[in-house]
Amino acid sequence: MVKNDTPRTSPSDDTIRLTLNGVWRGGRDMFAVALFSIPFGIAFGTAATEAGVPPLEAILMSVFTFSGVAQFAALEFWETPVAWGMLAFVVLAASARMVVMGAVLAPWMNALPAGRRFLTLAWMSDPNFAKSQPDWRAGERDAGTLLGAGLALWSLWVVGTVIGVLGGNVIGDVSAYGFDVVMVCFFTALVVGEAGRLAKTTGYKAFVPIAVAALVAVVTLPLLPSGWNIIAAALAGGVATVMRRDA
Amino acid sequence: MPDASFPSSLPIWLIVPLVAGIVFATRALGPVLMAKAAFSPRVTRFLDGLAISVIVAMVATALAKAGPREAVAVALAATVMLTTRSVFWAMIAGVALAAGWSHFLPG
Repeated sequence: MVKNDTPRTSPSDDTIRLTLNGVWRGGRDMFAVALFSIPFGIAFGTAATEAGVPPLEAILMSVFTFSGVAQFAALEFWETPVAWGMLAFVVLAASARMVVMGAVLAPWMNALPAGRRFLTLAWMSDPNFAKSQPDWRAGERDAGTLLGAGLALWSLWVVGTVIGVLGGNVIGDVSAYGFDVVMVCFFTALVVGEAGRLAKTTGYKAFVPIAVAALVAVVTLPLLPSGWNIIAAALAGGVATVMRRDA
Repeated sequence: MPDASFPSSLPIWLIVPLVAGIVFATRALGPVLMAKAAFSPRVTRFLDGLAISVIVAMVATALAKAGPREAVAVALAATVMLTTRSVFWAMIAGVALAAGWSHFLPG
């Protein structure tokens, strides 16, 4: 495995693959984080029941959507008459960052045959996207790691939803156990790790896109519809990266 | 206005495929949009910047909406990551602090 300290270059098509071994490794490496999907799934199942969603529909939503933010947002609309247009807009806003993540993954995803590409993308979520970045910089070329990590998160999310739907609110408030900060701490650790690696090659300039993205995300939060501030911040961070290197 | 009531007449369970469809579309759209893109060094740098920025943006947004408990938990996670280089222990430290905060400093 080649240690890659230079800026990432696009992998050539023939080095990208998707194997069962990769799926297994991805699932194994994400398992500890994925366990925390269970309490969130329970919270969703409970909230869905309280919103009047029948058990089967609540479980199917977790099976086919696999997005906590979008699913919790959708619960607000579970009443007749359904405000279809507003529902679509809110879910789109809640999920729009996935377009940015997909674009970032495009050099890898588009090297796969269409079937495997969309199979992998169907299980893309925040944690396995975030984890894939340091992995692929370190030389990983098996897209199965992304899929396997997604499958681990998804299966335990569904398990949690079933428990929540059938068992009701068996755990209470997830914040009592600190579970509510799991993902933000996970993402912070990945960012710190990435920033440390980038700082070795680009010095303090590595922090420019991080500072720009954080600033834009906070400043635009009250100005833009929910979720779109993340898109604005990501694009600003991307532009800052290009301008920084070209300066 | 013959179509005004049309959406309201749809069964409520259609929310499930609608939400799933929109979310899948956002997952699939990025690589489709980039299919014709040439991955020049400039585009690659832009995508590199996007990659870390989208994660930073999620953290910053979560912290902007939260209080000191979450900020201290994240600060501890960052410190543990810097000292141990372990994502797992950084996460555990942040969660433990948040749990302790909720237990000893409720409200």
